[in-house]
Amino acid sequence: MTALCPTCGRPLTSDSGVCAFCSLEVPASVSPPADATATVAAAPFVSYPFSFTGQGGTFFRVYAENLLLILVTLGIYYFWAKAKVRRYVYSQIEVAGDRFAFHGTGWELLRGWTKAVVLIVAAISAVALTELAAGPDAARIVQSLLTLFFGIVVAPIAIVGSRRYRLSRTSWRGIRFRFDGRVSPLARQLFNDSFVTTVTLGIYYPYLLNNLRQFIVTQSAYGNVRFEYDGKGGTLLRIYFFGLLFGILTLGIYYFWFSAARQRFYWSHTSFAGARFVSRATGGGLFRLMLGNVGLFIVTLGLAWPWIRVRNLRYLASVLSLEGNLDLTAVIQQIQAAGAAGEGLADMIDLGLLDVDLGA
Amino acid sequence: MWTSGPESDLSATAIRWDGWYYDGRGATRHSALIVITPTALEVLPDQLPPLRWPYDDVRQTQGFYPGEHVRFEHGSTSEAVVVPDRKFLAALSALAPEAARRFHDPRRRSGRLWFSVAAAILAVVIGFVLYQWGVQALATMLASAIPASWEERVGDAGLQELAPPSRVCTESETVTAIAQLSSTILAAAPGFPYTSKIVVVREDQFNALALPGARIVIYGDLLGKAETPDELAAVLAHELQHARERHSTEAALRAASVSALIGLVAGGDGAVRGLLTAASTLDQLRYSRRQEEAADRGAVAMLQRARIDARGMLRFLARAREQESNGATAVPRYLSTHPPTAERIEQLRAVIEPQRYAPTELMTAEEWAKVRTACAVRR
Repeated sequence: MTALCPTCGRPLTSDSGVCAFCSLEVPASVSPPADATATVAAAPFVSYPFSFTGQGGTFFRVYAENLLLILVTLGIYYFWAKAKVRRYVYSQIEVAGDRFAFHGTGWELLRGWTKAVVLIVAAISAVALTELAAGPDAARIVQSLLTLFFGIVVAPIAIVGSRRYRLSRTSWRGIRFRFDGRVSPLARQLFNDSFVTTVTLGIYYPYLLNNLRQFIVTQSAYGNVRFEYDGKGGTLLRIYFFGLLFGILTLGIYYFWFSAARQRFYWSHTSFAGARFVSRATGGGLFRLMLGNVGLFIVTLGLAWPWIRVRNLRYLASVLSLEGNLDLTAVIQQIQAAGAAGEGLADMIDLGLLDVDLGA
Repeated sequence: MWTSGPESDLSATAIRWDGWYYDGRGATRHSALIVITPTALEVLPDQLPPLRWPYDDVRQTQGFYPGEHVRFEHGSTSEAVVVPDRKFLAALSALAPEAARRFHDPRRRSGRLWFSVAAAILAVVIGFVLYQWGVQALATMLASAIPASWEERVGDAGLQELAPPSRVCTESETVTAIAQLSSTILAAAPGFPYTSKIVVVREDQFNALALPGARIVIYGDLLGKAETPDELAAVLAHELQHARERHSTEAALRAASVSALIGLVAGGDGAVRGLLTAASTLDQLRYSRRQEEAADRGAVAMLQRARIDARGMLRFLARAREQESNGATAVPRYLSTHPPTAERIEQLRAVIEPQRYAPTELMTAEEWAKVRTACAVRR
């Protein structure tokens, strides 16, 4: 259905006479040819690589200023600092000629954090008060109940809330992302999957992760267009099985190859608007990245931290691309309202499950 | 690395700039000409009607750092323009100086650079001062503000864990003898803030420890290896001194404020947090060693005021040293919570010898024999 831009060779996604990727005007002569079937057969397979262009020096300045302001304000500035870092990082990630933008503010993050603190302080004081009023045995029961409550109810709230906050504050080409996932289906899913994982002595764990990934990806949208996911738990189980086996045989060094395989698996089963994500991360690449990072960190006594973050982001972006016949003509803006309480919660209870972002 | 090539030429004052316009409704990027006028930005997108955005309705959201595109958003809509060239900002301040105050001016960059460098140095200095002195000062201040009854309650909770009733020795001779011994010591230490609680646990460990609120645990093996009541008195005095100086309360507060400080510095970064925590844990051991020395000195003073034979302390430490040399590995100094025993003996010898008083007899040999063996570890 589309013709190619004569300048960059990418598909023309609109009839505006302007290529959406290189922004050059398309001469009328190459407007869609009459024979539609011919163009379908030659459906262009275009690769849109991601890139991260941030500089360690600039990042260092952002960090230094933030650190000073955080110490001087006894921590209150932390939230503004976090928003500032995210704004900078997002503005340096590019795909198909456009950069991302982060729209969150320090105020939002502070409010979200405060709500999370109230919840956690309430939980801790419930245990402490029970201990004072009814002794340590009752306190232990209350503590177990609260742990259960946090695992079953609060963790899904944090996952959904933090995705909703982050995505609704992220835009590309002026269109916001959104997250439509709801807490109760996720809570049910996690509860069932955790149960099966326990019963199968952990063998089901990769399925749990795959289901969680499926939930997160398919509930994410760019404007009104959802992302798609078709990863299978069995494939991930194989990756985990070999990861464990070779991990033991190589005294853990295989971890990098495992991690790369998992990254490739997740991305290659994620697609959007006719195009599929591809990650070319390799174990060797991750291993070299880590060696360099550790070396830098030790030699500079940690001062090279901003450069290390830049190296990580640059690698992550450099191996990632979106490939296929990306069609953005159907995308319509749909802005979502969301607070940052979930973000604050996820921050505080430190969910290892959320490490799926690119530079978030 | 802080000034890239094009940044150095900030004198450009072009009126028209190439950029992109996003309408905030669809994901199409429109090439646009952005024109600077004195009161408004004019946006001329290809194939779309021209737009006029008064500066008051425009906010800058990107373009504060080298390498960033300049991004302006319009009002409460999702419309935006992006100009890749940051010299656009300089042109804006030259051509519309009043309006441009709302936006970032990269010509102030060199000043900002000094600010960044100063910020980095100052942050390191403040962080160091807070860590080196602030943490201890705060812990001392808070520890002295905490009521003794709170500490006792915390200590009781600790006792529940460390000395569950099933393992506590309840032989009445030992319990009474130890209670008497501690009241003899404390009689000479007026103003001791806590009602002490001392328990012997039937466990095969050569150790004793003080929880907050003068909750003291003595392990059965240590009791069995003390050869005279003076040695037991020395151990008790040492632990009571820890309690009196609120050492464990301070240590807990110090740990809390160190982790808060690390939280400030590391933010949400798990790796940095882990490394700093590991480093500070090692470093904090110096406080622990200092506390041991303080407890040793205070204990000797306490024993001397109570006219108990303080040489028991030396004898007991010598025995502890034997225990160490029987043990498998010697812990390097910087990894240890205690100063080397030989050093402790050396430092105390000068204070203890010569003894200028006739020490009181604490109990008869028969009484002592019962006390020592009654709580022996059952094997």
